[in-house]
Amino acid sequence: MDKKFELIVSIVNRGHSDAIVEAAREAGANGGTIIYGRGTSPFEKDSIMGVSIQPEKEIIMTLTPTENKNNIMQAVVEGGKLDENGMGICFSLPVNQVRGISAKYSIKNIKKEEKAEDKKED
Amino acid sequence: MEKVKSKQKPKKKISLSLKRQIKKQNVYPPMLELLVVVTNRGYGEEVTEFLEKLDVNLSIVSFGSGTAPSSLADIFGLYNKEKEMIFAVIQLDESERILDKLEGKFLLDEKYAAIAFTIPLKSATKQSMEQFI
Repeated sequence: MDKKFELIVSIVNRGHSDAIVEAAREAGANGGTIIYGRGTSPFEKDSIMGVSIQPEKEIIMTLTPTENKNNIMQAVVEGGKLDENGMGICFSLPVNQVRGISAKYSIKNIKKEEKAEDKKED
Repeated sequence: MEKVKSKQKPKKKISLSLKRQIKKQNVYPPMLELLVVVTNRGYGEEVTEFLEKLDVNLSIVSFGSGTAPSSLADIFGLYNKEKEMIFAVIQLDESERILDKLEGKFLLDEKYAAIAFTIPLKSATKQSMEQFI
């Protein structure tokens, strides 16, 4: 596979993933997976009647080509308001190899090329 | 909910030059990758058993949900949302072989709707490294 990919990871409070997913989709992301976790930051510690509570988190992972990464991350920050304190974070991880995604990308590209050719003929 | 599977692996012999490098710098060079496989709910066990046959002995299965490729698919329920993510640690020089085998069995079959990718690991504790090399 020639295309280079990166994994964009966004961590937000539970219930706030819809805005992130929508923003990423509009910026060109093809999909992602959401898993659930708990935050352990000392700045987010809360307690009710002496019982400490850990805030619930959603971790959204989106695999994207490197050339789209900056656009998608920018859209995620704007859509999820991640520049405000306490709203969440977004970072990217390098990906060495990807399998199972190239076929979908090549079919998409083929269809795009066919459409472009049809337009030219018209 | 997460499931962790691990099995003790017989130790491989480390080359002399690598031993010298480790002793000199007190760190292991990057030799591991994190393998991530995302598949439809219900097939995580099958993937971990397949990985065990390929000598991948530590895997963590986590439950999650997928995001629909379009808002229409989301509205009409055309997208299978429930997913399982399998995280496993593999050696750098074996990643190609493992991904090829995974591709042959899971990645081309629509019922799994699976993708797999690897993330390079920069460092790990000495005890962790010794489990994998």
